[in-house]
Amino acid sequence: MRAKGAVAASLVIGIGNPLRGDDGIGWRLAAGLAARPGLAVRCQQQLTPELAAELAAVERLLLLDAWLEPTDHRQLGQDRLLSESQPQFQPQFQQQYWQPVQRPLQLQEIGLPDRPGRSLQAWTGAAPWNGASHGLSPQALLALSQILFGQAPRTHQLLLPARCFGHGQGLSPSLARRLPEARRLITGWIAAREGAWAHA
Amino acid sequence: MSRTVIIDPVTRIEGHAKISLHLDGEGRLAGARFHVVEYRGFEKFCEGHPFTEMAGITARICGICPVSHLLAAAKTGDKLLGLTIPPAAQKLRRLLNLAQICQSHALSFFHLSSPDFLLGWECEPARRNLFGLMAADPDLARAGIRLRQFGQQILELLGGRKIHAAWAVPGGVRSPLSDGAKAWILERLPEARATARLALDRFKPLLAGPLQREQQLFGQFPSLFLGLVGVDGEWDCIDGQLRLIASDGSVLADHLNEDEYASFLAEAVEDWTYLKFPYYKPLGPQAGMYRVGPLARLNVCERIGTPWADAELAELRAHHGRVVTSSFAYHQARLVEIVACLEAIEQLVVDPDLQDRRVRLRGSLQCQEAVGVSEAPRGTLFHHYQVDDNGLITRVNLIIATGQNNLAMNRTVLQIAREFIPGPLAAGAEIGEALLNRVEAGIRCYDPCLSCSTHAAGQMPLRLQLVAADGQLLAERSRG
Repeated sequence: MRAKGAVAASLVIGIGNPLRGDDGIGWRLAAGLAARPGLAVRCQQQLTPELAAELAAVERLLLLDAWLEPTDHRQLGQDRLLSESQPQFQPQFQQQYWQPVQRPLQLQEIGLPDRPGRSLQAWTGAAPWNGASHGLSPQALLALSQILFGQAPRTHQLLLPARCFGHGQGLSPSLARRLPEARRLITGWIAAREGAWAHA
Repeated sequence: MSRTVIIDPVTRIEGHAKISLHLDGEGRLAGARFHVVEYRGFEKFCEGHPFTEMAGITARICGICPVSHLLAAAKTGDKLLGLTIPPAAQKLRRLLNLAQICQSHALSFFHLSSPDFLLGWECEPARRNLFGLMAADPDLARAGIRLRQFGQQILELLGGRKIHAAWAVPGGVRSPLSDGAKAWILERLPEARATARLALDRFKPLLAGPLQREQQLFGQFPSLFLGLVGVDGEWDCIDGQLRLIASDGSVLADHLNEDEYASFLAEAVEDWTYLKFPYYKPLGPQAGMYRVGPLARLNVCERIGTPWADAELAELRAHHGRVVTSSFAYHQARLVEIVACLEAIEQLVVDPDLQDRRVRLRGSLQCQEAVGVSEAPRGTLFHHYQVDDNGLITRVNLIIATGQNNLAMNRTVLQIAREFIPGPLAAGAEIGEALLNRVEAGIRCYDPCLSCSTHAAGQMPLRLQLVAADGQLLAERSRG
């Protein structure tokens, strides 16, 4: 939590469940960030509406989340609850069918329309609110922040290709190999702001 | 030919459930069932763990009210260790629970239920949610978000994180209130109070207007009410003793000892739901139906003990009677309890005991069985542990607030359905949106938290089906 009166310029939110394998990668990366002035860090299992008030007080936001890696095997990509023990994850099966798309990691900016009014659909192009009390999409959360609190931060997200969502705290080997690359991007995002301060 | 109407799943509740309405051979409503369709099994897999881990484990039952399990587990652990915790720890736990009730009630009222009241029952479902409220009444939506943030921030200030903070432990708590936390709470309290006032001002006028019918329709029936009260019968949320009253206000049982809960509570089971049906044992499952939660707590107490909350309680009782029997009044009760929590936090946070560093005692196992009880936002919560000589759990029984309202929820669904299906339903008849909305909203009065017995996962589209006894689909309606 920030000290009274201080406003962090940058906020990093790690999203996921650290007890469900690769799903916890965002949480794990955020939790591992060292404290520094001007940076606030949150670990969330999901994006919830009350975060909107906090977003309105920061300039920049970085979301870290797991992303189900697409493969050429359609069935595999449709189930977010696969675990290492299931046959799809046996080495023989993977050799035969698993051909992950090895794209370089990159920060993606989440844009919002200029003047969409108060219609959520105008903001997001869809209705990401399912009526529950949690589980907002990043776009919906930003819309909430903008509409109710007058501003939303410039936002990037880093989606990390995940495979295994079973019980456990470990990461799949393929995701673990991407950690240095992910950390470089996160460090660069943080440093970009610090560099701006240094030149101000 | 008998038929069944199914609403699956129910939306804007915490968890996953469906509702089925059963018609007899002539198409008349014969029964209603609120099904909890997922199983979690915490009671079983806690076996073998040290009792000292129970606070951390059971808090994971739910992301909405983890504090409730944390406190009940810590209290049970206190008893296993034979400890009377330091006054500072007792007050800090109370502060935690007040903040928890405040944030949970804010979630229920502002995020989940107020769209029904303020946008209207016939409003398009896709708009009848927090975002619809945001468009219609941004001040209220913004204030509601900030109020929940206030409660959650107190949880984080005390426990280090908003959810699943293992801060309350057998023997006390891990740390006192810091100067910074105290200052933050005091700074934000006026805004929180203003939000409670705004919500009451928006909601109460509706009771004499567009919400009159719902007050008569949503769970308006006599039942028993159970909750904790303080030594002088005042409202309480963590200490005190159990009191059970009837709808006429008579006290059926007072100073009930939670250690002997099995002598006055029984849990019935049905093969169509994972949620049990607790009831007051001496009266049996029909007459022994009781309700817990904010409305029950207000019914069983003599007074709240703080000026604004007592004034709101008096107004509630003036409108409904000394014992409020309509479950629709749960919504107003939540607002009254938000006021009670804010006033209590205001009194408590300046108590110097909260910054006393003596907040935890340590001890060794003194007995092999204990029951802890606390008031969760949704009602009374029991944790019952049996342990071996090494303190490893051999048996667990958790009696969850939502379960204790199960009989009343089923009866509420039936009452609403009877209003909307007064006579025989012709084969192939359309299932009206009005029925769909009201049945769901009737359940939502109780703010059921099915995560305590299920897992809240996935999207929650709504499907209602009319099915013949032979399985033939006669009519269907989908949402989402």
